[in-house]
Amino acid sequence: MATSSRSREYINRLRKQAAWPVAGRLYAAGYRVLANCGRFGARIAGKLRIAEVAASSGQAGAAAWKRMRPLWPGRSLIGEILALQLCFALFVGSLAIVGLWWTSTWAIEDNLKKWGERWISELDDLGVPLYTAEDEDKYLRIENYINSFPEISFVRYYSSVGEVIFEDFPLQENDQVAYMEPEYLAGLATDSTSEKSFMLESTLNDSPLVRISKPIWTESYLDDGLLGLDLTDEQDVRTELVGFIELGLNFSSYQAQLSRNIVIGSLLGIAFLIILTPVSGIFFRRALKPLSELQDPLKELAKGKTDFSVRTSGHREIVAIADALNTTVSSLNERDKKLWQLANNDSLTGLMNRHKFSEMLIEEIEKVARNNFKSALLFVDLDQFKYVNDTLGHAAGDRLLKQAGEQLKNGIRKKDVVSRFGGDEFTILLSDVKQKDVKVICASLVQDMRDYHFHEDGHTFNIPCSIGVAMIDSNTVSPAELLAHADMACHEAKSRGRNRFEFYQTSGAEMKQMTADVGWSQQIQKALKQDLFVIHYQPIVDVRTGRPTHYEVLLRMRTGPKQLVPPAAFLPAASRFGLMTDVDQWVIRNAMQALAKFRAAGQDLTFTLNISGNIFEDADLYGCIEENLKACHLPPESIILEITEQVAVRNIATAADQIAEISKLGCKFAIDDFGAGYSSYTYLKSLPVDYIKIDGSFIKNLATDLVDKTIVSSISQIAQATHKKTIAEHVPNAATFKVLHELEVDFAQGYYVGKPAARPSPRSIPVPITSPRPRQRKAG
Amino acid sequence: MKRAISRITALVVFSVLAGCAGRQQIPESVPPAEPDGPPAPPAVTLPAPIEPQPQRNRIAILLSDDVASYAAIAKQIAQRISENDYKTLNLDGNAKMSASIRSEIKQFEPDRIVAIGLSAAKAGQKYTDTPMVFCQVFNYQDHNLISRNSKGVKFLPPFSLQLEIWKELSPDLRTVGLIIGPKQEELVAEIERAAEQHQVELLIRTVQSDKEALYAFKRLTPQIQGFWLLPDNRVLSPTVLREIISYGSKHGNQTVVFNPQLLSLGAEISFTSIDADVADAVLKVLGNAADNDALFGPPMTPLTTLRAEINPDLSAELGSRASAKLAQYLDKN
Repeated sequence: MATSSRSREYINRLRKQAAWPVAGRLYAAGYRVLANCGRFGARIAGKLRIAEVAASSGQAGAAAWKRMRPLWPGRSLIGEILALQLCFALFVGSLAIVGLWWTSTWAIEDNLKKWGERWISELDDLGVPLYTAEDEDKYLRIENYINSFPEISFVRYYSSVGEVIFEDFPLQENDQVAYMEPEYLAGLATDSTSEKSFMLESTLNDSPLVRISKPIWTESYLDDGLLGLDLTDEQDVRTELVGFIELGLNFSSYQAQLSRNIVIGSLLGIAFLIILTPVSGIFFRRALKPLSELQDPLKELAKGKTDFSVRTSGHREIVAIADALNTTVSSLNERDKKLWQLANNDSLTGLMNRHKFSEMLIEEIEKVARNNFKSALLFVDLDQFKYVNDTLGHAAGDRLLKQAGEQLKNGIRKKDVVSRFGGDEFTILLSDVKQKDVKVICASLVQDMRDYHFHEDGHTFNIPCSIGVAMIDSNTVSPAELLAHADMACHEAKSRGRNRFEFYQTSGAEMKQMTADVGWSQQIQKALKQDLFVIHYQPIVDVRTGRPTHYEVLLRMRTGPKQLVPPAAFLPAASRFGLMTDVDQWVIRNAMQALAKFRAAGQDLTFTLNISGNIFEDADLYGCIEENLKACHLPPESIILEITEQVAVRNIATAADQIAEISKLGCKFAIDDFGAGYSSYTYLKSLPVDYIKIDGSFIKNLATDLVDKTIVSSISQIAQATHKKTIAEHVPNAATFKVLHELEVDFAQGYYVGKPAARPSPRSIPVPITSPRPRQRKAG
Repeated sequence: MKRAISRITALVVFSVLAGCAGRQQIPESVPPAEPDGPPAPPAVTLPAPIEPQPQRNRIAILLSDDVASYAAIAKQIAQRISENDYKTLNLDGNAKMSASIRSEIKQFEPDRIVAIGLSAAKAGQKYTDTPMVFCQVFNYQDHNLISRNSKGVKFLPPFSLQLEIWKELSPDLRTVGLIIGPKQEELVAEIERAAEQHQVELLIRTVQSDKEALYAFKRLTPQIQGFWLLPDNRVLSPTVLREIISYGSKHGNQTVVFNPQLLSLGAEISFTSIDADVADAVLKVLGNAADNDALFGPPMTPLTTLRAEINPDLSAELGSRASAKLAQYLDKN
């Protein structure tokens, strides 16, 4: 039926082509007839390639064929097997017919020749009276004889000199056959030693005759031959040529009969094939039905659906395919499930992740707007997480997060969802809930968390939480706004002493500040769209030479004419609202473009770029760096990527791999603010970074504080031991610079060295000449 | 081997038949078989030979070829003219004679010539002034061998005698066919007389070739009981000879032949001349020479006796009945 509908569709299209030549119209009519015959007819049309005939009728026909081809039914396995079977049967049949024809013809000819020899031998005897004796019946005998054999077309007797003495054409046919020429007869009579000196010619005058001719010899004993008769010896005889016999044999009746038989046989064979083909088709379809049944599951699989299984009964080959398909589907389902979990769940806690939660939030907002009920978004922040994490390490922090997630999950209704939003922040969506119920739930959660104790390494911690609540109603505009409200409410709860929950309220100074944060996020998005970010460059000088060797790229946001906002103002909001990756990508892209321009202008600069944990851990940083390096034609070693110590050690194995991979491009890495966070020297050994930026808190009092001096000295020594360079941040004055020189710190950065500026400053710093640097770098 | 066994069987059967008769009579004129000659088959000898009467001293005996039967006759003749001067010469089938033969004849200057075989007769014919008696020649008419001083001895034994014996063996024989070449009117007349004498209908066909002979024979077969095969070399060929005997045998006809070898092909009876009889006849003719070298007497002198052999199968079929009749007949002769 599908074929018929396609055929009708095509015919309708053909009708619209009014300028078609006759061939195209004829083809369309022919195709319509065949198509109306149904699917089978259409297949026959396809096999017969009727369209090619139409195509050969002209360009319009060819165009018609091209237009029609997409409508042509696809190849079918059963059809091809049947076609192959049919071709094979036709081939074998043709071969058999040709073989039968050839063999039969040969057998007829051979048989007839043997009969011819016999007939001519007997006619030789019967013709004896023609040459010698008077016999009234001599002609009658010959005629009777040859009339007995319809294969004998004619007979002629010649005298020894070639004169015809008798001829007879029993069928009154072929009586125009030429006589044998004297030369021919002479050739025939050359051999008198054998009575069987026959000569055969296949055709006579283009007629289906075979001529057999034979000389007639007589023999007689020699004069005294009979007196010395010896039967054991072959005696010499006297021979005499008497005449010749010519016999014409006609194979046509046999050949005609043979042709009739073969035609009848062929027709029967074709009829048998015609009957057999659909029967074979039924058998083939039945045999291949399990294979055909795989089509639909495969189509479903191609569409991405995997919620099916294939029946595995039938032939073992089909069972193998079905098993393989089921295994594939199972594997795909498992993979999909894993991918779904990876995409939608937090790998640490198993809770819904931020991305999935955001999607659900959008759906919930729409649902609320549609159904006019209320839901609530809870923003939960663990109050003691940072303490646990800093004192007991990340592993303990991770365990705390998992247990806290479980605790929160147990405290909500089944239809509600909880997600890990990031760090120690969780979000909870209470669907279709009244505000009074929200209060009950929140109070319960706070109480549960208050009662919850985290045990680790012999210590017990109370992990209270602060919860910010934002109600979702039909006025809720966007998830970002809702999250901001919940976040602000959470901050309000924290500011009010933690271990409590607060609803978002539009009044109050704190709320205003938080509202300002929301304003920052909108500003950041606007800056990204309108390119309102500005790059400034702060020099980093070589402590030994005082000359700038690197420039740290620092971000500013232009909020008005000649009004630049430092990153501290907007980056927290960017991080909170998930915009850090976009900001990082903007910085990388624009910094590299700027560096390319500087280098093109002859300034051989090296930039250090700050990248956030978001892009380092989640996004394709490698691809971003590689793409921009290529786009700007920059040497990779001209880029140093700075990551904070917190980011580096959060997952040190992953970070080490990420750094190693990007380092293969040729870029360098620096750990920023080293010493301010977790400050484990072990990290220095594990992380394949090139630079250590010593946190400014150790530098600003370096000249006067012995402890800071000792710390910086030890960091410098460890860096030397691990073949890393050190950079001192926030260098305030020459005295500090001098101490850095003494402590063999490699580079210095700060207001004393150079303030951030719109353009890289080439200004050098005076180097203390009274403090020789005895340090010698150890080899290796 | 089969033929030898067949022949030996024939001889034994014939001997038994003769023994049963109790009076086997061997003509006095027939000398005992020479150790070095061909074995003489047991023969039914009939009339006693005539004593030879050599007339002249130098007799040349010409043999057509080196054939045993020719040599046997020459030997018989030589025995009978041993007191005369004679010379036996073999022409090796060459009627024109080799130079050496001609030289020998010239030196020998024969008064009489005895030619055995057609080639010898044709060679002797060249010595027109010398009386010649030929024998073992069937178609003498074709070669004008009969002249004033050239006479012959018949090739075949007396037909009447042949037919008499045949009738004794096959009393029901009524119709006999015969095929012969042209110019044999005298022979045919003699055979017809013999047939009339023995009340046998004779169907004679004169043919020109072996093919015609076979053709005629096949059409004659349904009409006859027996076929008399004559040694006319002009109308017989090896193929036709075999086919006639075979065809006749298949169709139940008895065939009388002129050579005992043909019994092995299916013929029933063989009648051949006896060498001594031939020799006697030759010398008898030679004895009729006049002073002017002309030879008196009939153109062809008949033989008086014959040798008969029968097919072993027929002997077995005849049994004692046939033997008794044959013995009785032999007694009469």
